[in-house]
Amino acid sequence: MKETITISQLGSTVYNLLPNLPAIAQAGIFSSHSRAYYLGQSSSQAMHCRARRNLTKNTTEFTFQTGKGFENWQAGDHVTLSIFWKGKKLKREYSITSGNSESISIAVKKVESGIFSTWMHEHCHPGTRLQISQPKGDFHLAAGLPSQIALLSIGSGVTPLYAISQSLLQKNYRGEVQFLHGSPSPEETIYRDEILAIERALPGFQASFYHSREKARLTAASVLEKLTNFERTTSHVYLCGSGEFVGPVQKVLRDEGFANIFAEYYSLPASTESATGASVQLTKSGLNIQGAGNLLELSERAGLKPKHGCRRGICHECKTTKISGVVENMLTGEKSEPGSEQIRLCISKACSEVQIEL
Amino acid sequence: MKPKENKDLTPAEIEQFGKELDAIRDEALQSLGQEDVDYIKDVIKLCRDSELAGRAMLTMGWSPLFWMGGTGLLAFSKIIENMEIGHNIMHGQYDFAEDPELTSQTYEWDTACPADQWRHSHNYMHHTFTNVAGVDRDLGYGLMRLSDDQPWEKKHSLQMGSNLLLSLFFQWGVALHDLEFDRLMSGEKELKLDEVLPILKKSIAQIGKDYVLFPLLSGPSAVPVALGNMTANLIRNVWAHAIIFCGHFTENAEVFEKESLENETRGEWYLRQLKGSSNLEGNDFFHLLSGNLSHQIEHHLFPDIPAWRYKEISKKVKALCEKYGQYYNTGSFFSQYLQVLTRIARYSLPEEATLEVNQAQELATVA
Repeated sequence: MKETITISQLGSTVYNLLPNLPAIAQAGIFSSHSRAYYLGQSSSQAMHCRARRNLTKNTTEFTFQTGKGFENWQAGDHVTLSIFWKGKKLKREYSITSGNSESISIAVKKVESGIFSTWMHEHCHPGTRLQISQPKGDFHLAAGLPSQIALLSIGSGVTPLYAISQSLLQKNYRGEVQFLHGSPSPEETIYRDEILAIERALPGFQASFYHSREKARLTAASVLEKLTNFERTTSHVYLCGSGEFVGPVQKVLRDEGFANIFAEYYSLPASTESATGASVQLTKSGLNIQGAGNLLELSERAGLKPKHGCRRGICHECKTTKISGVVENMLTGEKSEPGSEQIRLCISKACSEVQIEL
Repeated sequence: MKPKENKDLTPAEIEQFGKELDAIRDEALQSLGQEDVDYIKDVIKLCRDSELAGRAMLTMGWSPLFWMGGTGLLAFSKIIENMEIGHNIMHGQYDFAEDPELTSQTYEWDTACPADQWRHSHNYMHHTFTNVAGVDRDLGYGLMRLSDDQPWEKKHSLQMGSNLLLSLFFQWGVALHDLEFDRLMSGEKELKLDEVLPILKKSIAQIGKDYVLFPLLSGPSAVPVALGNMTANLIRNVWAHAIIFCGHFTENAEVFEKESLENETRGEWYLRQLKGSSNLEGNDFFHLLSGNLSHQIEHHLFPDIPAWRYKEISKKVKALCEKYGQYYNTGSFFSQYLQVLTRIARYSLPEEATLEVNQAQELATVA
């Protein structure tokens, strides 16, 4: 067989010969990104959608082909998906529901007026490329399996617990599993058939579904009822869903003496109500500032000297990391996302409580 | 000199003109996406691969064919790294992608000027105060006189020569630009160590790379490698200088007085950007080599929109200029560069002489 040498192979040979240059010399093929490119470790993670399938009338499962870094993900991990919408990068976290080292699946529930989930349903088809982060998370099956496990979720909180259930099946877990899940109706239950199949395959696995439309909500009381015979100190309880569900249930279980509770919850985005003079926390200097003007002026009034240039949104010299909170672009009137991003101080004003790395 | 086609606009018209440009800007910003990321990543790949292939060929630089091929590839790579990649990323054109490789405030480019100082002298000083005499330091680079608003000094009589030198050593001119040599000499400014040190470090790194490290690595080809690297740097210098000078110093690119900055509105800023810039016509490859600064007008109106989109945007800008009776300054590279050289020559003469030449030319055009 004839070996062909590609340019990137040539590159990796060159890199292995070269010394590490000081930071200021790292330009062109000497930049760290270039090194990663030639060594095949590029951080670019745009991945192809391979398939999509309807799970319920408003929830769709998307399967993506993955690359490096996906060899060792664990059930319960999530990934961050990024899309571009109106020129902005939007990010959302989704639990990996199933997959292997070559592909992963996620389930996206279409939220009314939800930009991201609507975009996914309208624009993500087999062949579409999306940026997907490395798998991450700490909501995993704890090492050393106990003899009793409870998996409690509502709505799309089922997704990491479905992945954990598959991993119990793979391990051929012989203990007792109480899988309790709350959703509006049987038709709107994500992965219902798949969970029932696991129940048939594992003798100790018992699944119970609660449907609010049939007046049977999954509440702390119904959880306690199912877990009466659970050993409080040795059993493991996994909880996932909205804060409204996870918070109270977690508290009741703790009061009941359950020692090992693992919880993950998603909350709704912070309120974007505009309030003049929202409080701004500057994390590096430890200052708090407040007022109606732009963030550059406000922080200068507080005695700081942030790097800046034109003071009118042209030069990008005052770009600073906003850790959280909603700001308004004073040129366009546009409100930002609540998450972390770079903002121009001179044309930003706080609309909610904001944290800035300054 | 003011092109005769330029209609004087009322404040209300200027405001409307600005609003229409804002609308073009918003439309472009809203459409940014994966397409732009893919484009710039492709250019980055092309740049890296040609740098690598060029350097690899130069190791066999004792053969004239390999030397020419290697030098050409390396020059090509340096040109697109400086113009289409570095310059544009550092403007924040790709910040929307939140990709560490494409982030304006951390990008370091393959030229003698430290990126941090460039962001100050270029993105802030030059782009905010474009072609304002006495404020925009890119106007003549502290070496040349290019308008009636600049007083004539003795050094200007030799400015054809200083321009040639600046062209050949452009990366060093740019590297020293933020130090403001003329103001240092006149005592207006003091030399600070924290300004000089980054330039020194970057210069040593660049010289070390091109004239020590690579020649040493290639052993017996050390001399052709060093010569190839030098030639590639020269080609890049001359090209970058030519494109940049064509962007602001063509015959009809206007220069403004300091007073124009007082209470300047956004609409007036737009108008000044339009009048102070000039475009170059050419094919897509030419636009790539110029870092799309061939669309200097669009770049100055919208410095933070990905440059490869200027070509599309230029159609709308051109239409707007027609609507508002404003001159849209464009031409071939050859004719624009000839205008630049003529202008440098004309303003090398003392005030009265320049005036006479200008008047003679105006008469000639009328006739």
